[in-house]
Amino acid sequence: MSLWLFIQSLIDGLLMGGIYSIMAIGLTLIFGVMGIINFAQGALMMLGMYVTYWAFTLAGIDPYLSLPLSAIALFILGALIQKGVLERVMDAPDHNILLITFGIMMIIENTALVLFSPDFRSITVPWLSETIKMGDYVVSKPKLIAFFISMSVALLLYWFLQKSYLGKAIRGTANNKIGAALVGIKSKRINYITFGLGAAIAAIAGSLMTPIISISPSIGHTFILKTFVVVVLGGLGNVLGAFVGGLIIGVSEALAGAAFSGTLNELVIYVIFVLILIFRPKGIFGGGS
Amino acid sequence: MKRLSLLLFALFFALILAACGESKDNFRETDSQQDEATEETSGSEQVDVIKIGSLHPLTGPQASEGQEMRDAIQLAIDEVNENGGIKSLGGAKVELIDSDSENNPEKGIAEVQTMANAGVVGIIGPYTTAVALAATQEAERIGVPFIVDVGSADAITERGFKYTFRIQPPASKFPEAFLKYVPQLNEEYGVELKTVINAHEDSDFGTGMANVLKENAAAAGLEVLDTLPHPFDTADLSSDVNKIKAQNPDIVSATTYLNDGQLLVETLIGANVKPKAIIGMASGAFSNAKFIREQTDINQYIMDVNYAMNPNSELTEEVKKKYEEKYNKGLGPNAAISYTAAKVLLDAIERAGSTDRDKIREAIAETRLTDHILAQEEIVFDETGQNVNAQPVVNQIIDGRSYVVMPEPYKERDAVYPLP
Amino acid sequence: MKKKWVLIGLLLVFLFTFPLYSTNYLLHIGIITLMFAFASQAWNIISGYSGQFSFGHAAFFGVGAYTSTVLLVEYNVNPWIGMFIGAIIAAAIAFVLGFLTFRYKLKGAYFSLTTLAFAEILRVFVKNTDFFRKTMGIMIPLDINPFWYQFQTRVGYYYTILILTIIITVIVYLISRSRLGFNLIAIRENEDAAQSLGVRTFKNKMIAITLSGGLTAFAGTFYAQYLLFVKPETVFASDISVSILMPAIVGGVGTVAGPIVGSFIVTPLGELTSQMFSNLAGTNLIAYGVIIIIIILFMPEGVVGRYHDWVNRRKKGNKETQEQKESVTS
Repeated sequence: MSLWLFIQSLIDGLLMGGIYSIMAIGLTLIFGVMGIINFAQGALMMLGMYVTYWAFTLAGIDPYLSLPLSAIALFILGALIQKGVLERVMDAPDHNILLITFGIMMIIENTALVLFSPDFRSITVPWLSETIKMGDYVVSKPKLIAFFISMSVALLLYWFLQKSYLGKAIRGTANNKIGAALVGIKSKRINYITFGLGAAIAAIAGSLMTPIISISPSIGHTFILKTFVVVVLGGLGNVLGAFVGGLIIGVSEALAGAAFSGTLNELVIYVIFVLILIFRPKGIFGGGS
Repeated sequence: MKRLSLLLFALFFALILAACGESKDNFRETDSQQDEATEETSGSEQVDVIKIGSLHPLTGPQASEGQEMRDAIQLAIDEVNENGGIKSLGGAKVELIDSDSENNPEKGIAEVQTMANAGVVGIIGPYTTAVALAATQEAERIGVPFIVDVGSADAITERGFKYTFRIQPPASKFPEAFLKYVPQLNEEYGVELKTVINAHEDSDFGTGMANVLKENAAAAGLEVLDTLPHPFDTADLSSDVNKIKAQNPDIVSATTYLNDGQLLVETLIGANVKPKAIIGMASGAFSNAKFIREQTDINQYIMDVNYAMNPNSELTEEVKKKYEEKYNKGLGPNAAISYTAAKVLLDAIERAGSTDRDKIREAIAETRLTDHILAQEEIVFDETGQNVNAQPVVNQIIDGRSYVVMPEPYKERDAVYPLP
Repeated sequence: MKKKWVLIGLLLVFLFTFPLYSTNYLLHIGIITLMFAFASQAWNIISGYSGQFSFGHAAFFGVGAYTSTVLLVEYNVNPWIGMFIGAIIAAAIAFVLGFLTFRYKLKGAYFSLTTLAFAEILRVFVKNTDFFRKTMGIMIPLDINPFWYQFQTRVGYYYTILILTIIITVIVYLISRSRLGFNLIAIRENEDAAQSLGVRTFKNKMIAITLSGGLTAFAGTFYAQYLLFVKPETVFASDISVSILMPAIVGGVGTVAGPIVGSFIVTPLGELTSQMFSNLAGTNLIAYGVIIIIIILFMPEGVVGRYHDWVNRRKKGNKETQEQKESVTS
């Protein structure tokens, strides 16, 4: 591998990693606070993509402007899902919760399939199409923007959880449900907010990606397993860990892709996954929000 | 309480019966001999309706192609019906039974069975190799003629089956054509493009072609520097494009579906990679009507070695117009092949003058169709059921339209080669 | 007690005579239903009885399918024999998986995710390996001969899978009654407690997963011989893992009848919905999603589990009213 290839792959890997990060942040928040491994996270991201897509196609709204729109829409949907379905199984065994979120994913994806048809759709935003050239190296604009927004979301969320009252309430519920209740924190409502927040973050990831890739109802599949890897790598429930984990996975994937032939780079991610699960299930940064 | 279990089983049984009743027509046991529904015939058969089947992915990621192909078959049927139906059967009207393969081999088998039970005398489909292999096998077991419109693996016609026919050229012909035409292009336009990197989707479709290309490149004077597979639904090709940039080939060849093909081109442009030619091999993107028409800021001068309609034929213009009027969509090469398959089947039924599947099979085998819209000579099948004259040609996208640029009888205009 | 056996007897009669009054299409549905009932029953051993939910049983299914197929196509090994070899290899792989996960105490969702990743690793590996013909898959030449595991009509396949399903159900029944079964259930209910009571948790879980993986491979071989074609996207896909676990979830994990009943509900239902809504893609999958949620929310013990509960409550109820009567009259 030449030096050029190495560095360009590093750049691309970091940028892609920013996207994995933000997907993972939503997932890790939900797991950290509620103990739910949300299989439907990819499907929620997909919905965010479609919101942005339709906003652009029907009303000409710039994808970054419609970002708050998709975030709010999915926040509401997320809260509803928690209230309507997940609330009832909070105490069920792990695998049952996994199965329920799996069922939710199937419903969301296939409803989207029926409503939107399976065709791949893409948007072309003129001011995003050029790439930034830095000497021999090339940086994709929308990916760069996604990276920075992803980082901002991570920092914002971290600050929110550490410093704000609501954030502390959320963390309190995660750590000690009874104690939190004693102090007057309504854990049910916290859960609505948390899941809604996780869904909103997934939507943000989706909106950021719409200018970059073509979307289709099953796009969530491509990302969900990788997102699990990032979450476990960063430590379930650790927001900053998810951010860093995303970058690590992005870079590993890119470097493996440059080094190996075939699609063996997919293997690298899964092998990392299994190794982490076995030898350091708490992730590199340990758990806890 | 045991009654509840009994109730459950009865319910299940009832559901099954309901499923029978809901769907299609009466079911009957079929074996590998003919359906009792077919009447004895000797040219003077009188039926009202004759059914043919279409098996394509009507749902899922390949649905838009599948639907276009099914629509093309319907067009061929409508033409026949508007012209008095099948005359040798007393003006029988043709009816299409369209089935969704969901791009799933198991489903394909089930649908073949269902259509056979519904009385189809022939089936056209299915668009992918995996479904083709399974479905034609089932058709062979039952004894229903199956004309593969699109389905690339060589193996489809290499199993000694009697009821399987295929219109498109087998997969190996594409890289062969690539390796024949690139040196020709080099000669005609006075350049020496030699090095190739092949980016392909990693299912049997792309992998098969990649292998043949690699094995035969040297003999044609070309060199394959690298082969880069990717999953067809990949969201990111920057890694592959970086490798292309690092190795700087003259030609980038690509076997893709629509989405990944588009992504490949976008990523190449974004990374400032400018090969001297981009030449697809059966690329589902570069020959896709929508891609050609709409992605003009990225697709200029992209070539594709693929089957095509004969642009120099009036019949082609007519059919394209009819299709566009009826369906509000352009007629793409896959749909053109399905249309042709339907024409072959309908022509065979007319010649057989019978609803007997074996007689129709024989008639298909004896096909000599010159009045067709594909860029090839007469349609004739060899003993394996392959349309022997099927050939890929070289297409190039220029200003939002696709033109055949090689070989001679079908050439519409000169190519732009190499890329400016 | 006798009534249960009468019912089973009736069911067996129905199943054995099914080809007489079914159509070829229904026979195909029946075959697929039984195949997944079989695989789900195998899954039941480690996931139902031991409570370690595997999301990656496609790994063993695929190993079974590929082993017998490669042995047949490359080395002319009879697929009936190849089937057993496939099972042995799958069992070995299950052993490795079990060792990695149980030794390092992976439980619950961590275990499930690991199995998922494991199946994906196998899929990507096969997809990239020339020896397995990568994504092009391997085709089994048509050579109709029951001795070589190919049948002229569907009926042959139907009886094969029916007998296999009966055998594995008997195996699971025997397990449920055995020491191993009790140990597994104890582990499922509370592993630490079981351990402190002297149950060798590691050893029992290893036996369970090895058995489960090995048996699942038989279904893989059957599938390969039925379709005469294997490729990574069909036999190692997560779709297969889902189809394997759904019947047990719906029918009742950790029950003998659960996977069977579940498959008879889920598989035909899938067919029914995709036929009813043939012009709308994916509606059958929406139905599956809804079913999963309904079952987990309201009937996590599954149909058969609910039935058992009902029976037990009735028995208790009868016993109580009996005691009340006695206390009144005496």
